[in-house]
Amino acid sequence: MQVDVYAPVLLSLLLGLFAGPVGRRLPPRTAVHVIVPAAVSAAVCWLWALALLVWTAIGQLSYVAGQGHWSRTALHADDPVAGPIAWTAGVALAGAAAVFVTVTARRVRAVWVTRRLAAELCRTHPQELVVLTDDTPQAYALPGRRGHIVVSTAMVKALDPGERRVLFAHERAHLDGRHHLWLTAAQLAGAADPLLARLPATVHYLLERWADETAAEQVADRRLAAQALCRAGLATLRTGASRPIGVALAFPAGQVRARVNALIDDPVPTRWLLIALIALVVLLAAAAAVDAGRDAEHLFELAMRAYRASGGTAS
Amino acid sequence: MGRAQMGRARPVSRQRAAAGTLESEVLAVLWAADAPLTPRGVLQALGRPLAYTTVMTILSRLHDKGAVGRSRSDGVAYAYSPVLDAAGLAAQRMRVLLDRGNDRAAVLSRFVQDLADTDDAALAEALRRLGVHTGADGSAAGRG
Repeated sequence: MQVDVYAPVLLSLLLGLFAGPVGRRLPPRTAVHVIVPAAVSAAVCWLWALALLVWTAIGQLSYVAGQGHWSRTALHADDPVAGPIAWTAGVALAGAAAVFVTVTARRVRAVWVTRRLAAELCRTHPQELVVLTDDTPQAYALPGRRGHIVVSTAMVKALDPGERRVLFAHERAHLDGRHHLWLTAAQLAGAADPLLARLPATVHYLLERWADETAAEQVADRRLAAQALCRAGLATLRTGASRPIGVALAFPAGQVRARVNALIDDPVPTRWLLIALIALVVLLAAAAAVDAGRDAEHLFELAMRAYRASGGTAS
Repeated sequence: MGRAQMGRARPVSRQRAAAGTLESEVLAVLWAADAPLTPRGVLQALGRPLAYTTVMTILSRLHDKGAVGRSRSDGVAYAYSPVLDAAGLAAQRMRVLLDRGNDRAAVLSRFVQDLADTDDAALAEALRRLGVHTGADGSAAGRG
């Protein structure tokens, strides 16, 4: 258990560090399908490991040992986890729970508000496109029962018809691919596991890249797609629309430039070896987590046996 | 393209999906124009090889949905223009949604965001490399 219980920590660490580079070496759709489940698995294993650590510490409290009918001393003697580590794990677990609840609550409220707005839009706008009179170039996808693409008049006029096709295809890709669900999963994993704190930003970028690639395929013109991005970006910058509109995730600047360059370059090939490697690492961590659980169970069994052997005198 | 669209709850048939696409393009053309457009005008502005009847069908469908209004110009054909969001309620709610609270903005997927002033030169340069002539305000020459 000594080694096994830390394997999830290692997995989270590796994923947190390498999600970005890995994401750039796979097609974005594949990257999302690999990284998000891996992150969720890592977060679950992380919480499980913390819980095990905390449990071995709590089990040594005399009250708990008395209730559970196991020997405190036997548990303490066999416990491979040092006290301070276990209590640190406890603090981390409590912290993770608090952050997780907060993020989930905020997210649920956000989703609920947008859902109401989307429902209202469904009533007033039976068509997909919603155009708002606004001098600020804006364009975004609003998920809902039908899904809408919201664009400002400034953005409509800033792009030519071909570029608008790219824009609509991009936003539609977000709606069809239910990208907001992928992002939510990544955010929850990042909330539960601090080692994955920067992962949601990476996933967000990959989701944009996925939509870019889909749009480029639909218009069958990668350069046009790159052009649309440049034009939209310049329009946004030059009408002084860079007022802080509030983003939940901290992105490094230059995201749009990276997307433009990625569209100008050829599509990234699927690297099956890389995918297999990631799957292997996740499986190993999960196996280690299960093994740690079994070791902990065994530990308590021994302590219970010692308790019974001593005739029920808890010590 | 098909794979990316699998598993969604929106229009099921491929034809309806394609029709929805064209609808948005036509509507956008009307918004971009400064004056009402006839179907022929829309066809020209779209710059895509489409059938005249297709454009007419889309325009009348948009009219049925209440998204566009029409009037008879001095010609025989109708001239179409987009219906403005009268009370501006949708716009107001959008603005509230975006300005208040980071997480709400995170539910939306913006086309471009987090641009820095340093991106300006890089994006303009990229446009030049793509072979597109740009005006002083970044607009293309001769757009529809």
